[in-house]
Amino acid sequence: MAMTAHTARPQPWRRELRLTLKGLVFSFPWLLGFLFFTIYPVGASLYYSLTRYDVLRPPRFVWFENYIDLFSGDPLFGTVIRNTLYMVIVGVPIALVAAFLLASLLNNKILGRPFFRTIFFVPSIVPAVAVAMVWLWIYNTQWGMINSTLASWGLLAIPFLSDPSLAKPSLIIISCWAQGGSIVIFLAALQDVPRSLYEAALVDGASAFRRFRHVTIPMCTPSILFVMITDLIGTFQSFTLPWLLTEGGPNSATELYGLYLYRNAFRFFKMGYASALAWILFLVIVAFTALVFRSSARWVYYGGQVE
Amino acid sequence: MLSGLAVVAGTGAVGAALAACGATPAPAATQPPAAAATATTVPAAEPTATTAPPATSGEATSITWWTGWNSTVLGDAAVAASEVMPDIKVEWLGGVDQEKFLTSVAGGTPPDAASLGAYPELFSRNVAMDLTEWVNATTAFDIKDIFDASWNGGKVEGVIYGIPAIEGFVRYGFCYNTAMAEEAGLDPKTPPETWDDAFTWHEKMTKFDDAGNATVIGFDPLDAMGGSIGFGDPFFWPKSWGFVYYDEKAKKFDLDNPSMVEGYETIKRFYDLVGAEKMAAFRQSYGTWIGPSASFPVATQAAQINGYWTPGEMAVNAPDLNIEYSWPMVPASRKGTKVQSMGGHYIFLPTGSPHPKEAFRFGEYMMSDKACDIIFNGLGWLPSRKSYLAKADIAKYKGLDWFVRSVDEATELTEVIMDPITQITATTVSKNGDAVIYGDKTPQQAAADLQATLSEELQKMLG
Repeated sequence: MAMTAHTARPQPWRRELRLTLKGLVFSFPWLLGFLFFTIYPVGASLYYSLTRYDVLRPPRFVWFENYIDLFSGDPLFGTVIRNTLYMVIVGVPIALVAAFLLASLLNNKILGRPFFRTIFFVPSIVPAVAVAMVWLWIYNTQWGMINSTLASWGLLAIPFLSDPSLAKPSLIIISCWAQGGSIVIFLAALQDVPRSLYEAALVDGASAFRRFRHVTIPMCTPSILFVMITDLIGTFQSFTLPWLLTEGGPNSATELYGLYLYRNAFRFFKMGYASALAWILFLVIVAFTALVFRSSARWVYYGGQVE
Repeated sequence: MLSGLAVVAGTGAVGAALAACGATPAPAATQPPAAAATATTVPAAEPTATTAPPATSGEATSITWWTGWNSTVLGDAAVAASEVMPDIKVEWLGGVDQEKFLTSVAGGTPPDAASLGAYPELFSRNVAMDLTEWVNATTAFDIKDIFDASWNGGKVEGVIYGIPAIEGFVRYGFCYNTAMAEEAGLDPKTPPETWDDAFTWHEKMTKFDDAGNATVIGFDPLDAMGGSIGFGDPFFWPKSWGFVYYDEKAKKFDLDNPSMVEGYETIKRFYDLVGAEKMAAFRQSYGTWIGPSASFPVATQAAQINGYWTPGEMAVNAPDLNIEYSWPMVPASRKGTKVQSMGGHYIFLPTGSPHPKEAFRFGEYMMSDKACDIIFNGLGWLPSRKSYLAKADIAKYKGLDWFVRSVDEATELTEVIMDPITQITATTVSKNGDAVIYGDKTPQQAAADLQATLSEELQKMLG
């Protein structure tokens, strides 16, 4: 009897195996897609980055020539890196601060709060092409909203997108405008800040600024970290807006990494080179993300964590 | 940390997308149509488009034709082709960009026929099928009836890749608004001949408001054909200054020369008058070329260099303006030289075209009088067929006669140079031009950089 009972109960490793197999069977369709549409293309792009490949003729293996060319022989690569880093280092913090401040304002009990929340979120659900068209009109020097007003006052138009020194800041302004997604995340974080902390600070005589500085911001740092990382990645990959608004001009001032990669791949038939660019971008993003994660230990506060 | 890296891994999608496009190597590009069709079934042995009898049985073969333009007139031509050749149904898709075409070829699903992209570059990379035998055998049109220059633009090293259909005529004319010239105190009957003359016109016709904003631009030398390279168009500056920027036989660029330097200096001079930022802003605001809201048709720009299609398109977009046409300008040292160049578009069969024979017959049809009529009447575009030029109602579009006459009157009639890296050339010329205009490079530096970059890119392309 004891023997029968023993054989009826499966051994733990068998149970584990059966569960694993079941899991694999159920996730098989996704795994298949992941293998063919993610792993294979990523691996293939690594291979192509080591080749000279124009899509139309078989690739020719050139080892690390594309990478060497990028760093030693490409006159535009330095400009592209500088432009992209400008957008990341200047643009991301500005957009982040703008989103956080707007979320803080929208967290106050003001008249018509749901309306304002909707208004600020709408730009983030508008297709990028429509956003570009709207801003092309706003920035237009002949009859744009801003320049028409300036002209009616007899002032010189501001060449937002045709002055190399203004083009990048103009793109940053647009990214600040379309921060609806970040605002929603920050709003959720702001609403999670315990009231008791504010009450305690108030009892201690903290001013509104101090409460914001020493209670609100620290309690929202996990969300700030998340938004910072996603914005950072998005900015490194930025393509649609600069392509539609400036096509990399004026004078290459907005020739960002994504544009340059695209141009090489689809306009210049240099897929191998573009793949190398993609891998460099990947490594740069990994490095930046790792840096931010490492630094987060110093400034991100997770509720309940013991110092 | 893991989740962060997982997010980061998404960036590989950029590379992934590229890789996906290239996952399937393109079919052997050199496979000629003759290899697909035996000697007894080459199109020449079959009824040609213009003489084809209606199909008596069986379903029509559907073929796809992709074009870069999206004018419905081309769709009309496709429908007409299907009517003339009932055994073929032509499905036209307009507004196709090179990226879509490129991925379709790489993925092994190209259209049957295409008219888009930078032809010299595509043909140099064997993206199109060799049509030499079929063209030589055709009875649908007379090869000698077509300008040599038009054939040459569809040919690489003697191999014919493109049928010079749809449009293919002269590219250059100094197009100017006579009312604006008169208003500026200029005589429209004596248009500028040299760049110096043109600068005087530019200076007199350009207007600013009290705050210093440009309200009217006299002449933008980079607008339309003045700044266009590729896509069936020659590169204007070398034509104007009289040098060959790329030697097709020696496979060498010649851009670091005094003429190119002078070209950059000249453009800068025109832009400096208005201010680089203001000029760029003006172009951005109105748009370039001759679309309905562009600066030239709305008379906020007085002159541009543009091709023979200008009279036809201006008749639609700005029928009230009085536009005259004259020789494009040359440097003072070449005063008196009448520069003109042929160019145009092609119907080619992408490598892997599913129905090459039918697609070729469609190409033959597009050379017919009927197809040319549809396009000329709808768009004002002319084909590269001499016999059609002789019978077309040129008077229909005011000023078109100047372009037709220019073929005989030109002292230098040239053609598109088959530069195998046309798009890199166009972008590099433009980027270096911007650097000169905005004062980041001297014209000398720009010409030297241009030569160095293009020579290196060419070596890489040639392998």
